Amino acid sequence: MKGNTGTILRVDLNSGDIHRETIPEEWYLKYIGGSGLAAKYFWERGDFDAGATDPEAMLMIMNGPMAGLKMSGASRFSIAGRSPLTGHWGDSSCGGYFAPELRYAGYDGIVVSGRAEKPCLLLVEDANARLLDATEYWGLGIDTVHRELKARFGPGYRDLIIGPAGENRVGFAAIISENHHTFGRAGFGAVMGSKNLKAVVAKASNRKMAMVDPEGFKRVRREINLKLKESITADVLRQHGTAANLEGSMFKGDVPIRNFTSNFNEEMGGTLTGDALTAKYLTKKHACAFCSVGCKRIIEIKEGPFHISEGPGPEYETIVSFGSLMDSSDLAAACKAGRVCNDLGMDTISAGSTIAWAMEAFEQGDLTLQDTGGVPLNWADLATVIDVVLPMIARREGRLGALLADGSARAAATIGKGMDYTTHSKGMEAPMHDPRGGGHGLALTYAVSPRGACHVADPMLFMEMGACYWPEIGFEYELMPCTDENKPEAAVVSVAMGGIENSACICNFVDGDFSIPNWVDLFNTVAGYNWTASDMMTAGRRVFFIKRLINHKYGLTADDDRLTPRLLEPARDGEPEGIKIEFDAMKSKFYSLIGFDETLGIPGPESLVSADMKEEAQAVWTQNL
Amino acid sequence: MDAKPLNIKVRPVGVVKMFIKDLDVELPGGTTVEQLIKSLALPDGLNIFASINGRKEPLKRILNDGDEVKLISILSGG
Repeated sequence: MKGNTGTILRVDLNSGDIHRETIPEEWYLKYIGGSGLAAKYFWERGDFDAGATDPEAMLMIMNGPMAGLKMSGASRFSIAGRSPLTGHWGDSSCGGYFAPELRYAGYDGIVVSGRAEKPCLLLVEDANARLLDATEYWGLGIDTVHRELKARFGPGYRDLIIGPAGENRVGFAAIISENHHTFGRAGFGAVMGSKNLKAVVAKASNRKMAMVDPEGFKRVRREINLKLKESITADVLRQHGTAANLEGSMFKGDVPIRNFTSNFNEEMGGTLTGDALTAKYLTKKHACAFCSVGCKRIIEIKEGPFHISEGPGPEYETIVSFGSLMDSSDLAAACKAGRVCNDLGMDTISAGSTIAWAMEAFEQGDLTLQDTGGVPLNWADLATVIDVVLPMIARREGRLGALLADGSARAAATIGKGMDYTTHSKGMEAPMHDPRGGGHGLALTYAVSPRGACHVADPMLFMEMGACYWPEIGFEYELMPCTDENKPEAAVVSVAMGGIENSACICNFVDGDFSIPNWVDLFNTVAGYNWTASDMMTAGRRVFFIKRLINHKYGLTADDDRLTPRLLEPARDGEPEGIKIEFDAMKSKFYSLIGFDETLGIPGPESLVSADMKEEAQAVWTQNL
Repeated sequence: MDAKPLNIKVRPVGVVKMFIKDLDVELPGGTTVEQLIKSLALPDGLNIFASINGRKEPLKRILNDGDEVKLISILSGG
């Protein structure tokens, strides 16, 4: 096997022991890499009794087989383990420059357990890995630590850093790479913080990676590059970033407003959209390693109450989370809020959603000034959010910080009010794509996603745009957003494609232009998996299955595959008009098609065996197989 | 087909603005939204839908004189 190194770095912070561990080749062939390989590792080696921030918990940083390829979209990697936000399986994905560096240094991943006695950082230089004291960085924001690490080690050293939110174990604490690229979702910054691990820094002395068929890979890459050159999606992302079509999405009913009470405001769409960001604040475009798309933004806001220096700009999710979701059309404020979240180390989706929920609770009287410690939580008051609320959350300060630091679902449970207008599934706040207007299939995949409501766990968002056509695997539907038609069938394909995408660790802004033969050729020429399209789809489905089995061990059942009432009730102003999501019917059909037990919400024995998961089937089903 | 010409206001929204500007066009009577879009030679990958006078309308809809047609792409960011 090539592509992968076959080796991970195992770090025990209790003892300080660091050693190399060889991963069985079969695990790669069956679970690919990235979050799939992490799930298999966790299934075999994880401590299911450990809480997410207990010393015994594992923090798994995992590359896919494509990491290090000089190819657009191939620089992503995964982080995974038990989520502090949800209490069950979680994974998160990030781009940038760290994944190739780790690959060139000779590793497919790093698995950290234990807790250091004092703040530390892990330094990886090829075969040499060691722990260094990081007391001087503890308590500092990510921007400062990033600059200090660059000054100390050099610009070629790539970093992963947590901020004060991770140190204080905020449920949605993020890990930021290179001060720009974010493991936002599921709260793994808190896991790093609980281990007293402030940063991981990696540097390789070479840029080599072995692959099975270099000439074959070049042929696939050439074909993909030609597609990307002609791709409208790539061009749009390059020109105006991930918020490029926010204004258009508003007409689709995709953009949530005022805590998902509405999803249409034409003026707000025009103010917050990507071309407005380009015109007003963009100074440079930026790309992940080897990527020709370059959807990242560098911005500067020179004046006004929300001025910020030149640096990383917001993604679509951040603009909406701190814009329309809070009933604000102030783009500068959303940019500043995003910058503050990055420095404190917090996921902008969960932070924004939790605060938007609190604003509604405050309006309804479910939260009072007494509850908030005197902090008013008014719609569109971004100055208070930026100056007061975000820092309080990151430091768990006062009543308000303590209440909101574990996310909206736990906050609603704590006050015993407002659960109906939280916007989550399995404890993770929904991203900024409204399933009522954006696509009913999203409602289904938000609910069945192992990590909780997520638009990048699988490609349903793109499938409902009509952007996916995969005749080789029988997917030839033309999906329309505001209907349930063919969505369960599409979801069966989507969860498998999501398993592939998040295990190969390829960016979904790039791989939308891949054909199924492109995917298969990549796996075969790079890593020598020798797959057919059918083999690949089985591997993707297997990745989805094992994450569901992990959640089963944490006690989740079919009842947990649901959305909160707010996400299913009609938007008060917006889309769709009079069209109801028949959620239960879609879920029931999906379960039937994919072979899930309708009570336990896990694959039945036959489904598991058909995915070559006999041992896992025996572990969860009592009958002799 | 009705011979009376139609005066149509075409208003691109979001990323469609990368390809066309605001236009006031004259079209033959009986023209559909789909035919209007085709005449503008917009890229297929945009997957256009239309809002006419503030309401989403199917692409088969026949245009009326004076209609304001917003052309919107289904593409979403992430």
